[in-house]
Amino acid sequence: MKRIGISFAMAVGLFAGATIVDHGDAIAQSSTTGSVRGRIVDKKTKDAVIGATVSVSGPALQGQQSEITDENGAFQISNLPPGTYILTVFYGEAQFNRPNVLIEVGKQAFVSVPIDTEIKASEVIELVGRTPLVDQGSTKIGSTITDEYTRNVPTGRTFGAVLGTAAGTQGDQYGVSFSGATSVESSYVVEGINTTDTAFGGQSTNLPNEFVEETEVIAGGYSAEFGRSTGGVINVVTKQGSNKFKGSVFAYYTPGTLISDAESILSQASAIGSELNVDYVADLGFEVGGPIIKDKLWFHVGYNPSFRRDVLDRIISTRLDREDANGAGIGTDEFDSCETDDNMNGVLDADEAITGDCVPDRVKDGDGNDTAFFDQEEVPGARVSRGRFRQTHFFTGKINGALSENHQFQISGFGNPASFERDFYRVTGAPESILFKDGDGAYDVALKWSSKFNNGKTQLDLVGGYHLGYEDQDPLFAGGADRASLQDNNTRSLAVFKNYEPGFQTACADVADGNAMDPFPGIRNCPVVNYTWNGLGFLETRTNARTSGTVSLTQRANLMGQHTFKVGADLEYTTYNSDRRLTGGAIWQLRPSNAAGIQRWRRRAQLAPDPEGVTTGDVPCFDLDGDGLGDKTCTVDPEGYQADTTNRNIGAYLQDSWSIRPNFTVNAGVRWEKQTGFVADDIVGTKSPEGEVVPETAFDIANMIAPRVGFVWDPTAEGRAKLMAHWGRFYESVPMDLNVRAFGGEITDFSTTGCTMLNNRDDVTQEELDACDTYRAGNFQLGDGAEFVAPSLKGQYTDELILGGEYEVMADFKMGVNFVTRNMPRVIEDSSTDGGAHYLIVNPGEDFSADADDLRTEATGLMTSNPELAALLNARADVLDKISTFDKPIRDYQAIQITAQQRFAKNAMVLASYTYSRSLGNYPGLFSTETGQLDPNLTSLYDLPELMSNHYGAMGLDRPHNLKVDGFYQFDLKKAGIVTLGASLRGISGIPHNTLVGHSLYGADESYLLPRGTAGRSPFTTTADIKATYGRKIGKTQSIELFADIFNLFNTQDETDADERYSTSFADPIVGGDLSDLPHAKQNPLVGITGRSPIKNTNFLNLNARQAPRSFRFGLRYSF
Amino acid sequence: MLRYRTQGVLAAGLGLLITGCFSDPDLKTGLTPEGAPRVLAVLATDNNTGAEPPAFCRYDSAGNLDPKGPSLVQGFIICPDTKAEFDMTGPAELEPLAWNVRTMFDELLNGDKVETLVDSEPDAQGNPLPCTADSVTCDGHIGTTDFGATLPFDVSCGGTAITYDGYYYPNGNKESNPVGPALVLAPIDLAPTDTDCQFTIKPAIVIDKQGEAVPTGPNENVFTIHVKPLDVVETDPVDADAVADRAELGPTDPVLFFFNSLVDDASIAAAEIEIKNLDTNAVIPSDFTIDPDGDGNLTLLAITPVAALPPGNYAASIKGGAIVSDIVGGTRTFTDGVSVRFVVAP
Repeated sequence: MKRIGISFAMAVGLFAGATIVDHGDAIAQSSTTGSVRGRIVDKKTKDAVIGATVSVSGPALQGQQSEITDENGAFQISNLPPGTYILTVFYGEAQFNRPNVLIEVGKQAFVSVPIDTEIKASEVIELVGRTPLVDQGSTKIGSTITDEYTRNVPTGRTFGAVLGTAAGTQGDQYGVSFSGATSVESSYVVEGINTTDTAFGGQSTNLPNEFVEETEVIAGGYSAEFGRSTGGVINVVTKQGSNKFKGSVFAYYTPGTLISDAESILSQASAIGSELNVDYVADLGFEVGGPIIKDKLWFHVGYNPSFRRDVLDRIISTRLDREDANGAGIGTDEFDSCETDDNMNGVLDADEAITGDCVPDRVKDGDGNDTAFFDQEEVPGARVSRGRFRQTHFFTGKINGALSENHQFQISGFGNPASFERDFYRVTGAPESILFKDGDGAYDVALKWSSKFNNGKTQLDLVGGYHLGYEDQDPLFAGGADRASLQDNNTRSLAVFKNYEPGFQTACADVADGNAMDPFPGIRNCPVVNYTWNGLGFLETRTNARTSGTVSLTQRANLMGQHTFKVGADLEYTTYNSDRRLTGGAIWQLRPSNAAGIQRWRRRAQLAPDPEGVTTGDVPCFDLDGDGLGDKTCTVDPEGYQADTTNRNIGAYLQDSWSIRPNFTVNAGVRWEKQTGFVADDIVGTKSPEGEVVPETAFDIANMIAPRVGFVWDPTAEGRAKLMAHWGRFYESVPMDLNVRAFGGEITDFSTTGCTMLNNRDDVTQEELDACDTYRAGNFQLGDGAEFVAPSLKGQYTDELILGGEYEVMADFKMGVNFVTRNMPRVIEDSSTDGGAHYLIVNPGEDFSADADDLRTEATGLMTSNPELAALLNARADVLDKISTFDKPIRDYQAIQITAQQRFAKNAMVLASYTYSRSLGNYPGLFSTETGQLDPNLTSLYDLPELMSNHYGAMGLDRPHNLKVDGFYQFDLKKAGIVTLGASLRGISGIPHNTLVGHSLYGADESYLLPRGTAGRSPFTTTADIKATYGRKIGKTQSIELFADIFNLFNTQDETDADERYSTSFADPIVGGDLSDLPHAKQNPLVGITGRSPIKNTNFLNLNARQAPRSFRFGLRYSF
Repeated sequence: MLRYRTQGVLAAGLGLLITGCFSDPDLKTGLTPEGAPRVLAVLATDNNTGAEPPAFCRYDSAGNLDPKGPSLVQGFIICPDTKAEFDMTGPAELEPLAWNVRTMFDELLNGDKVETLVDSEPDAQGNPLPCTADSVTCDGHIGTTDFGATLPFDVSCGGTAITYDGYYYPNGNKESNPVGPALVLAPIDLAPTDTDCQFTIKPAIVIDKQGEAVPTGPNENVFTIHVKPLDVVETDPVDADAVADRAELGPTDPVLFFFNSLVDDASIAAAEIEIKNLDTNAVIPSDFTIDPDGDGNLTLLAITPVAALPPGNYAASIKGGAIVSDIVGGTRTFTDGVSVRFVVAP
């Protein structure tokens, strides 16, 4: 059997097989508005009513919008802000009013209005009806989060916290994943402008739900006007003013005292664990909107400061059984056989400690398997608590204006600047030296102009925006900027670092390895690995900006049905200005022993780019002849490196929504994109060691053609159902981390000290290390400032096929089924096929032999004038020739989604989904779901061919069962008020686990000893949140609500992740192996002991993350 | 409603049909678990350098390397892409004193059949312990241990059976360094130089995880690798043509010859070595000693003048025609002899 290819032909075939039964009309959607279409028919004859005037008006619309029905009685009105409208039909002298037409952002409502054409008198007829719930305009899948949802369902405070509501979404390490894509592949559009983080592709702008009118969560099936996303699209529209003053004041408080204690997470591999508890979360804010000039100019503003304090408990634990013979004390196990409580005082006194080679009794797990050592036990009195404080200032401001009904504009600004003081940047480090503060957030400005011409058949939309995201990290302790991070890369006893551990005397002193009092010299009682002290290490200050503009022209026309053509273009100019530095100018690492048992200190530092590519420094660098010695000299830059980088993205599209029949619409379009990345300003024009001049342009990915095609068929012809199909190709917009890391001047030097008096010592000071200025030969560099990009590099993309249908089972309640499949046939990554000597930016698995030939031709011409550069070009050509030997990327996501939705009606609302999905492949996306490495298009996933081994399997986002049920019910107590009870239930399969070991070149966790996802799975987890609200009107237009949320009602703190590190030893994958092969696994003999198994991590597959504990949140809202 | 139900069933059926069409892809980094385990390459490891040149690579009938065979590994070619290229270089030979053989298979083997695992740490009395789930690390053995022997090979060199140990290396594929999965054979006995060693994989022992045995036949389970001839691989000082480049020795300093195997001292007669004064062409009385395993794993021949040499140009030689034997019967006739020219300064 073969994997499915999602082909254009297949999609076309589906269209060919579809049945055309009726006649219709459709419209493309503007991203911040919705639309309505329908037919006016004679109540008795069902004939089309031609020439009727259809108008819509409502509090969200300045003035009204009108349309005259065509020869089919059809009308459509677009560019409607989300809200509830009255649709009015004027025919003859009569007027027919049809209230409660709900318009949602990005959706198209279908309203069919039968009228009595025989009424001749000047009458106003009030019609009763409802708007069908099924979106007839597009093939998009996902959900729309409304104000009603966020007010009544227990959920997070911001739009970013409700994205997981849609079917097919799930949380990952950096946000919310859509349809198997990593979260950083999505596009976050607020007020029509792209606010996605330019650096890593994640969410940057966030706003509280009180500022948001609607959040459209598009999980797939979007049309050609949406681009630069291979995940989902989050389309947020903030609230706007109206002709009436309206607003609210709100407050939330989450008291830490009512939050259940988080259960400790201890590791048998580390004596230092942690426990994170919320101290409090407090929010206070307001939002208000109203007219400046009625029907002409509205405003809306809001401000919401938010404060949060967490307490991180640092815990020291041991592998010791500290329990007395009667079972009292900590834990439940009895004394070990090698413990002798001679005086029967219930504790292990110093003079009772066994000093022989005693290993404690082994203990059994629940299955009777030997777990090798005791469960970790916390050392009483060693717990240290530290606070983390974050404050965020959310704000919004918006002006809506209408020069006339056909010419409207909007100006909005919003943002979420924050500051964050935290410590325990790394828990495994000296507490007093790892505090830092972090400022982050975003500011945005969006401008929008919309004009209609030609009786509404032509529409021009202009959107401009500026997004500024930032992050600023600084140490929080005296002299922190000058203190280098010192790290011991060996597994040690915590006793070694007692000088940095205030609580040590109460922690491991009595059981310290090597201590005469150590009762168990056979084991390491208080192990720590990679212990860090003295300084923080890596810090970054960055700004990420995007200036964007879009223009689109929509034209409706009749040609064998109704067409809505839309043509548009967009331009983005993005920046990522990064100041990357190592505190104290370096990170010092005490490396594991070499064959002679010597541990040496290695310095990691940044080298300065040299305009002449050689020369003036004192650090040997760039081994050009392969003899293991640097052939040039470089200079360490203690300030790190500053990379000011830019990208230019251009896109254009053409799409048509062709309503062949009123109930059958074909949507087809094509999108063209081009992305140009530029090298950091500081290194443009500098020379590489081989004399190659660094160009201005880093990469230029042109001709990214993304066709989209789909259809919507309403078998009921009443807007109550739809069957649909969609096929589309979606190109990635490469995040700018690539610019900074690969084209920013990053040259990291690793030099091993030659000062023998520092060897084997972990009590050195930074001053001693800095004073040593002799280094052993054989230092090496990673990065060369600007990596080479294959000239024929192509864009990374995803193909998607959706087949689905929805049916309005009863009024205001619909159910749906979707089959979704996505794959990722091409990726962009840095790769090497010569053991890491040369890394190139390529499409792994594809043929670059033509590029290689070109390079060789160029090299031939340089053989005489610059043999070093010629050699470099030839080496690159050799690498390019072998790029096709990589496994091609595979990321196959298939899902069947069953959805149910009742919009708020009859006092209730329900939003539910069940998704069965599989996510298999060898490439998870823009970050590694296993190691967490977030370097989009620059991960280690494709660095070497051998790293691909065992990469195929269940990926980190493979969570087959995903159940979501949200809803609320209102009890109308009449004069006594309204009580609303809401609930949110979640159930999801656990993540699949891996068997990770070290790789000889790449270090810890980079080698999959067994195939991906074959080491079991965390358990299925469930969460239940509830909310109760009491609301009461005060007067005619005011109300007050008091509410309480309970998150994780049953306080389930089940495992959500496990320690996947099988060993820190270096070992190659057992390709296609299973658990029966594990005992025979061997260390890589080139860097380990020949014929010996990897040293097992005793904590392997032990829990290392839990669900958050139960918490309560209280709040009130005064609305007017 | 019936119409909608029918459509729903059709849609669900289509979904199931599509879902059913998925299966694991064929990956370049994957192995070939289908069928019997086949040897993809036999590498003659030089323990002195770590190099693993191929003594056998599997090519198809068109002369192309098996797609799962090791080609470019971390920048170095192991097996050339074509049989013609392989034949140009010829199969690798074994270093007499420092060889292992890595036999790479196209799929994982039944590890319990081919390997015995022993706890890396003996007990307090130094007695070996079997490998258990509690063992922190274990060592693999394919030779004889206190807990049994798997002995997946028959090895004979020049007709003499060779005992061996080694281990099963399930890790790796054609991309890794070293390649795998493989059986690594480390000889315990010395093999005679300049002889063929035959390695016969036992089908009863070497089976894959499905129980299929390695096929039999030449280049299936029988491989022959030649052991390099006995040779002088290094001298101290080194020889030089130009007088100015020759090393300067003291009047009584020995000249050292390092062999690549253990030399049978009885095989060297005094008449087969000499020191000659190159200025006078006079033969200088000399003596020699053989130091088995004198420096590392090499056998050392030291030629020393009986009396202090006067200043001049000299050559210490194993004379042409000398026949030298290793201790297990391999012989080498040094037809042209081996000389080291040196200078004794005034």
